[in-house]
Amino acid sequence: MRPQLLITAIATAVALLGLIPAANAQTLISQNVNCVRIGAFNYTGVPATATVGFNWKAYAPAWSQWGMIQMGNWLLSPLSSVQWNYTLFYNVTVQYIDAWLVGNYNCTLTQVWQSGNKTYTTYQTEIVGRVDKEYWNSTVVSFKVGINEVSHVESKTVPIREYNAQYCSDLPTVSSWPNCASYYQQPSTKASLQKPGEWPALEINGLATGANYTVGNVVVTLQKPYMYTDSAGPDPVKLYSDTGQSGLSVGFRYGVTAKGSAVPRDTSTVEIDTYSIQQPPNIEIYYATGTNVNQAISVAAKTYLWGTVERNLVLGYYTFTEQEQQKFYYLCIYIGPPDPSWCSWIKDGVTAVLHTTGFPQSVTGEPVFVYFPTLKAVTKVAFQNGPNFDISSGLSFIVPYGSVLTLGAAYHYLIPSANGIVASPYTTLAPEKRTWAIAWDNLTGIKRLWFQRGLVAKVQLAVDNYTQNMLGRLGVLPLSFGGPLDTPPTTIGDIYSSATFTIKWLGTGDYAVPLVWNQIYDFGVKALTYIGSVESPWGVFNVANQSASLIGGPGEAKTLVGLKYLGATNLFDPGRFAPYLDLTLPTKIVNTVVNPGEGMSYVTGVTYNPIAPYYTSPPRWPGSDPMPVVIGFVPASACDTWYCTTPGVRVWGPLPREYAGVVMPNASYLMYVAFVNPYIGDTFGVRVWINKVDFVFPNGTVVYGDQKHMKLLVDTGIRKWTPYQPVLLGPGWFRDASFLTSPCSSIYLGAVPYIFTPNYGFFVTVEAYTSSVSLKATYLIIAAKPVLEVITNTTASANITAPTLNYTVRLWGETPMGQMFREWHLFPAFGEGGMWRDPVCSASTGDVYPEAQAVYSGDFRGYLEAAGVEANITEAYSRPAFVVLDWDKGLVNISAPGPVYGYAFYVQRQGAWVKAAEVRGRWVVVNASRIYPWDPVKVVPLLSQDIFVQNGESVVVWRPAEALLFKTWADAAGYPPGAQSQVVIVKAG
Amino acid sequence: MITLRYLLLAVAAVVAVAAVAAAMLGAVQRAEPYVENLALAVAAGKPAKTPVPVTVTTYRAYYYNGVLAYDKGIPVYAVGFGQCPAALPPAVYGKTYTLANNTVHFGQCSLVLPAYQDGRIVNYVPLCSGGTDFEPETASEQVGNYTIDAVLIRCG
Repeated sequence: MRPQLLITAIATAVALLGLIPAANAQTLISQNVNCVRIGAFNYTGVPATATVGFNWKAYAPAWSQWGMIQMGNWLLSPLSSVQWNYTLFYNVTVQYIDAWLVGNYNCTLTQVWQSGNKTYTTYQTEIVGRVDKEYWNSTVVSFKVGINEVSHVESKTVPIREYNAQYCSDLPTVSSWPNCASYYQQPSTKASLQKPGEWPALEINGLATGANYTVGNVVVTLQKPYMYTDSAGPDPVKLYSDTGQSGLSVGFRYGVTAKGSAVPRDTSTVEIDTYSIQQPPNIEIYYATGTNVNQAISVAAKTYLWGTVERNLVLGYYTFTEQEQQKFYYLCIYIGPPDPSWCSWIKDGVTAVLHTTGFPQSVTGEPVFVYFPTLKAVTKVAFQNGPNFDISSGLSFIVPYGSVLTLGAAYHYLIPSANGIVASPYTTLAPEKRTWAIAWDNLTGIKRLWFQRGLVAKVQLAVDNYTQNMLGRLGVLPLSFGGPLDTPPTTIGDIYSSATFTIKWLGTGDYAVPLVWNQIYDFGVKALTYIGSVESPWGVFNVANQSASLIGGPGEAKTLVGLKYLGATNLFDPGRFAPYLDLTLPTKIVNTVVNPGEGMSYVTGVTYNPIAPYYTSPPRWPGSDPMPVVIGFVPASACDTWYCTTPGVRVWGPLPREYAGVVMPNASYLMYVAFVNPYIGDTFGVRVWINKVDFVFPNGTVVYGDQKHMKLLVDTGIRKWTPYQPVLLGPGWFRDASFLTSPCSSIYLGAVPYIFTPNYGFFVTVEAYTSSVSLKATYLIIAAKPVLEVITNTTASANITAPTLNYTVRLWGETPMGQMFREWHLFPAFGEGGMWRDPVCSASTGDVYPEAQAVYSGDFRGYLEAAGVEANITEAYSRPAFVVLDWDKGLVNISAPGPVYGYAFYVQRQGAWVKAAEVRGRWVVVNASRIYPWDPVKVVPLLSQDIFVQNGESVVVWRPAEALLFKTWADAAGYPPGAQSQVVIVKAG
Repeated sequence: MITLRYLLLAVAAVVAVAAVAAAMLGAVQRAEPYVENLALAVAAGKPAKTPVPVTVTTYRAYYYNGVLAYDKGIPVYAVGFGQCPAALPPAVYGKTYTLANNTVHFGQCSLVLPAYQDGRIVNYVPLCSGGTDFEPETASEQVGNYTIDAVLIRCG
């Protein structure tokens, strides 16, 4: 240091000397900077940390209708449980600079000056520190996804060094003298990821790979090995990190190579094809100063199943007219009410109407159902002369709800020639026209399903198995021959005399939602001010944007009527006229008020009557008169006991119901109406027509329903109506009732006629009349089969003789969209073996409001039936298996198949099995060195299952089976005679 | 049988050592056929009685890849009746014993060796150090791919 100080001193002296001539006129002749390295040292910065976030999640194929999630174009189910073949390691290598080599330079500025005739030279000297080199270091952060983990979120910090000094990146130059360019730490943290790539799953959602899975009538065999992967594939799906910064995500593919087979009812085979999805693999360099250096890694591992059915099925045969023979054809199997956009892709040619639908119309006062060929109204193309192919007539393939069907169609045609009629070879649709992807379209706030690739831009398709819909009714099958739709036919010269269309294959695999349709809802709202918006399960619908109006004077209770929004319509069932509508009832009136003076600014306020907050009516049919009435159906038990000796109808709360327009099929109900406000005066009569339902009378007579003709349920005659006064209606009778706000509260009505619901939906027309006015509104009521929820669990009681299983079955009504409601009816439940008890009414929460639910307890074996839902029960026994991990230490791993959540250990003490230990986990490691054969330990797996069963399905119910644990091998502890066994839990997970 | 013959030849050297030990122990044991009968009965899991007390020796060995091993594998017990050496003779290792040939007799000692047969391992766990009344009892446990039987020998 001493020489440096000396140099600095000299340099200062020289600089001072140089100032003296500067007072005179001088000219700078030349100057240059010369630097000499005089030493170096390592600068180690200051400590900092980088955080590496890891967000890993695995998904299952979308087989269940619950908990669906959308990821890009794909719909998946979250994985609830899994067993990977091995532990997955994700290693993130974080690179960082942990030292900087700083060189010390002695830099001298030499200036040559001219002063008069005299030339002299000045020197200025600086000691400059320059970063000559960056030393990189790296740390590997490992994230471990356990063998049973479906998701893993973790963050780890890595100590790094942060530059916090004032060194130069370059040496000073003549122009910069005496300054230098500062050194800045460039992005100094880099990360790279090492991932497992591909790994097998042994069990998905409790289902072992290689086993069969039944959904509806389709049996899918999960392939073994069932591969998961996170490597790249063809179809990108973008994921973003939790920090919301795009590009931070790490792309991974989760594809599957899954093959299996399925046997639908018609014994066709379903082959599960390989399908895979991915997202681009990339990881970004990311650096931020301070202690929050974040590297977020998102990984999604998922599988995708896709199935096909190989079969030939002749769709139809059509002979072309002479005129048509000059054209090429599009076949639009179109089912549904008018929406011009749906078939807008039809550019030319002939469109075939394959199905018609209709709605109830009042022809001569009494509503009758009128068939209505909708396609004519939808498209401007004529539907005459079209080939009339009814796919549904020949294919009895029931697909599981939540499936997507893809159709691979083929056609051939007959060409007359000099040698007679020549049949063209069968032409199948090109592969790219089959591989249709599916996505939700959320733009309109509703979920609908589109095919996004294929022949057309958007083709709708819907599937559900609640109505046991068959393939042919499911959607639009675009067929063209001669070329793609948008290009002119290339074979226009051929004269086709006829064509045969064949379904070559049919795919199932993903998820479908119903067709989209306009529906109108009425909401009875006791509003003091203008209601701003209505929140439905599918979004908030703003009244301002809808043609809704409020009926009622200032300060009075109001009814919001005419609120239109797009509801989802399920498939039409051509065999039955009633369209099968999906339920899209708003569940909540949003507690906001639009202040008209301030546009859309919301003012919070109480806007509805808390006594009756959820008046909703079923979907009102287009063409109905708006009416300030809420209607609905409430469950009514025909008898107070299952073994009915004295008929007596009891109506069960809550009344009104959250889902007023949904009933269970083949169940007893009563109807209710409540007028929200006096509309056509407070004195008027109400007539209610209804179709399809049966009227059951106390003496046992049944008046069966008619599909086409609406039957008069009741005519109240002209009377005075009180606002918000619910009136119960039955066949030929009515009476004022009160609101039943709590579930399972009831009103006993005595022996009165009641309604028995049909298998499918039906219509209700409500007419309010006076001598001069008649207003009619028609509503659609949906009959949806319930599902059963089977809940089992084993608890570890203090003493046991044999493992027991607590068994509960709950009745759920359900709509195709997965919105559920509970349902109380006095249905008994039957099991093949075991025992059953009468149902118990249990209050439970609906989507928003309370509902009543039937709960059965008992023990069901082999077969289970409740409320018309039949399920086969296969029993499986979960018996613990032992594997010795360490012989000398006596460590034994205990595991058991099935939905195990823990284990209980019992020892025999004084003639009884007494619980010695209980542990939670899928597996447990115990020390068995002190468990002797003469005092064995009883190991009981603790099981818990919660399964939803649809009609006709099979479920596997696991029952606990015990196993005795003791050591039989030699170990360090030995066998002290007469010693008592002791259970030592080592580890569980 | 080849195994057994080989074994008998191989343990000849041990006999001399055992004889010395026997002379020192004196009282309890004698070169009598009941020791041999006792070993055969215990190996078969059957009770047996002896006219005079018999010493019981416990040995530890392993089954590794289906053969009896010295230091690795599944730990098992072997038992010796009579005047037996403190450790198993080296010649017993490296062989597979079945329930039909797992007794070895030499001098005044009878060994009952752990048997391995069809995925089942049978080993012998003495709960005493000597006596006249022997009551074996078999406890069987499935662990992983093996079934391990412990023949617990009570004696008094």
